[in-house]
Amino acid sequence: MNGVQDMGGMHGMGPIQLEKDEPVFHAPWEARAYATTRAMGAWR
Amino acid sequence: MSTTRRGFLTTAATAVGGAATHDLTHVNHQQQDHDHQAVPSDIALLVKALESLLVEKGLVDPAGLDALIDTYEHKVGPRNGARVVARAWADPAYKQRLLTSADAAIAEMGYGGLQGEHMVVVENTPKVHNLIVCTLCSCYPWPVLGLPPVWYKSAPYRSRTVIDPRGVLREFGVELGKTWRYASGTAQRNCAIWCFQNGRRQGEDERGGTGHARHTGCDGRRREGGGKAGRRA
Repeated sequence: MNGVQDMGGMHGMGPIQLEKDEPVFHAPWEARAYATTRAMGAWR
Repeated sequence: MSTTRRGFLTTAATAVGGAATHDLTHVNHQQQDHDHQAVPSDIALLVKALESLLVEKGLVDPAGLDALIDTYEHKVGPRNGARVVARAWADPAYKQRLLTSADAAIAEMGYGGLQGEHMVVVENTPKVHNLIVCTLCSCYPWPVLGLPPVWYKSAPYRSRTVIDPRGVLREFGVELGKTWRYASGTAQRNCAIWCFQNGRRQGEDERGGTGHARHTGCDGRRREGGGKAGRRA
């Protein structure tokens, strides 16, 4: 794989931002969007 | 377009608030300030509109969505991986099955499904520390470890793990001695790898409160010196 989507080895992305006690979803809409995506996957 | 929609909603909410104020002139100003309803964010409105549309078309069931959310918030997560690892610590035969046929061994514990179909388990040893990264799309074994944390999907982690694995580990509080090497495997493999520490620590039991099973990648890259990493750690 050699393309822009492969980020391995790229420079300039800065430090890793660690979030203490990270929730599964950061906002209610994230949860709804994820669940909707998964549910619609059943129709594929 | 979204600005227009948001502007419309803000104006509408303000107008409603204003109308209410006319009818309630006896209400003091301090209370009026709390009568306004905050307009949801654009993305929240968009997701709600999408869900409403899909429900209206009979394609999704809101109760089913609630169940999915509850599953990922309370039933699936690193705790599942921790149970698998803890059993491997206590059961050598299971550990062997886990290292040779991960999907089947993990299924014995009742975990499997979407994004967990092609898992590989590798073992950390006193000399080898496996650092797992997906440099492409950051897939993750959802049924075993839950949804990935934001840092795992982030550009800094996906880019720097390849060229500065020791530095990345240091940011997580893991300092490897010079005698450690990190494991390799540059082939693109459509699978998820996760690793575990060999041996339990004091106070950890088979139900697993720890979960050294942590990092996976859909391209399953493991590094050992050369390759794209280009240097020994």
